[in-house]
Amino acid sequence: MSSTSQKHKDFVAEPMGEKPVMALAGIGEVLGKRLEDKGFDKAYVVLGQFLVLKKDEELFRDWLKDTCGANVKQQGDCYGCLKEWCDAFL
Amino acid sequence: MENVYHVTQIADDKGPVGSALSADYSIKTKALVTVLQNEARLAGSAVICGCANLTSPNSGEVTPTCELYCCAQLSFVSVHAAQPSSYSKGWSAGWRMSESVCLQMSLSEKSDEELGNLLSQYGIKHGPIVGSTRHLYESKLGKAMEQASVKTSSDKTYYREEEEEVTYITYHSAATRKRSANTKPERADRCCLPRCQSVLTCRVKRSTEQHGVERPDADTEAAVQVTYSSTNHTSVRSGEPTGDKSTGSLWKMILVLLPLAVLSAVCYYAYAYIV
Repeated sequence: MSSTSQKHKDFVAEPMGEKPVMALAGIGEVLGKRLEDKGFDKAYVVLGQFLVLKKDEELFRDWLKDTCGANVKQQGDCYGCLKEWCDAFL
Repeated sequence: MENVYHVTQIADDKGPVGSALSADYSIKTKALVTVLQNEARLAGSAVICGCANLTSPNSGEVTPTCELYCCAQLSFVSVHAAQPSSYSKGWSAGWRMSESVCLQMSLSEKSDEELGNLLSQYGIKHGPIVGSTRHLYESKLGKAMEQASVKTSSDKTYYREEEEEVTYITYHSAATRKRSANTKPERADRCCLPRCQSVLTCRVKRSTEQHGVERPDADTEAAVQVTYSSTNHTSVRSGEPTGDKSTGSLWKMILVLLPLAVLSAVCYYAYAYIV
């Protein structure tokens, strides 16, 4: 697999618990703030959205782009992070 | 509050070409546009992107004459109807404004089940339609509907074939080039018009009968001329050079063969001299 960031590794290493949305890979301060404003203040809420979209990559990417304006890389990082977390813990 | 537009299918003499408001509003032209404009103002964030010029429909006409775009908040509502004008100007103006029109109802008014059915219909895989996913699915569906409407409205194949015919004729005959050059602007006008082009061409033909009559004659004349000119060229082949491409290449061949003939004659005389 291509190189993943430290943020990604840290997130998928353990259950997310009450981690903030900015703990997700690809989601920095700016995107995190936008997500929080929309009500997605915790990582598990974004996880919920990911699951409701049936873990579909395209849908999740589109949603992320529409909701917080994430670019392609950020979309990919966030999707990969959540997917791997689900593979490990769900 | 977003307004609801109940869209029903309408048709002109060539079949369904668009939609208009239902019997909730009058289907008469001016009343329809007036109502839509009022609704657009009332919607707050709605923006009227385009509105066609209206003419009073004849008593026999069925389709209202209105084109209007309303972007209301998050949902995109566009209402488009054909314009049955007896004037080609009215048609072209109306149709140019409808280039990016998307025919759909207000998706936000649909129930989750209906939205889900539409998503399946357009081949968009989807999950449950809940509050957080609804907007995403509405926008995806809107884009899919736009693409679908653009695909169905583009009759470019028809015109491509026509254009191919035109170019074919121009290639073969210099005489027809002039005629096809004259017809090209007319065809270009038609090609600019985005929707229901087959309908439009019929109407153009109907409204400009003289041109319509002339055109088939022109085509047949062109065809006749093609054959005539080709026979002409064969008889001319041995002699005079013409501007035609095929004769030119023939002439080049003659110019190449002539020195060879001269050379062979020189060789023969030289041989004869030696002998």
